[in-house]
Amino acid sequence: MSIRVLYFGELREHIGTQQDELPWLGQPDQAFTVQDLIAELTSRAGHYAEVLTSDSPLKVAVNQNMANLMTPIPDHAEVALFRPVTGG
Amino acid sequence: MTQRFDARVQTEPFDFGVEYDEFLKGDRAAGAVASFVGRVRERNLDEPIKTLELEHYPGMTEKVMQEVLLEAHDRWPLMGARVIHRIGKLEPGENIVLVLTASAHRHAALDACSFIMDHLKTKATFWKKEATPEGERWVKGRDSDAQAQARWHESDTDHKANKS
Repeated sequence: MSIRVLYFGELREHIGTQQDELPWLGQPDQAFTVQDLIAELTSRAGHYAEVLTSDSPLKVAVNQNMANLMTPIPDHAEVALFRPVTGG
Repeated sequence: MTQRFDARVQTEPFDFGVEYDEFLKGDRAAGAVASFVGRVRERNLDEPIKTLELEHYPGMTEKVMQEVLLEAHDRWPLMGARVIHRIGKLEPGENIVLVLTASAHRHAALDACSFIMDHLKTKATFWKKEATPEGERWVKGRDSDAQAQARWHESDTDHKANKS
């Protein structure tokens, strides 16, 4: 009952870690959403709150698919948080 | 050329000539090949650039790149498309990205090449950090890139509106 959260780019630098393992907090009758995860991370010590509640746009992928705040996170999921992409 | 749509991420430089020859090896049907190469500029936002460092999300990046190629394949009669995107620390003048598209005629090849680049810019999970004499800074996504990507989908809506 856990998920892996990955951070990339500027977000990784500001949070100060590449990834976290977190318990999966879903209930049989209630989904564990991206919004729930962000609330959970924001309550942590360190730079999480400052980084995750800043005005800079936040992008999320769940199991390598782009997601939004309402996307449910399945158990054992890989969730990634990052700023808008700048490749090419 | 057997139909091929491949995308890869690598730290090593790529050789345009080698990639072009290999991409077209044995092909006699493609009358048009379009290419795009993105390079590191020596200046960005009025500041000299010492190095540009690229990172990616292993797994998701390759998946998204492949999806973009297949979307282009759905839209145009392509015989193949290839994308190579570099990561790591690059210097001004170095190549970052190569797109090759092959079709019977030029419009499909040129449009697909442009479509692929516009979508890589906004969907592929890469991030750039520049080193300037003033220090390091993460490159911000640009609205003009989002608009360039969106224009392909505005016409989708028009098509649908016209059909209905």
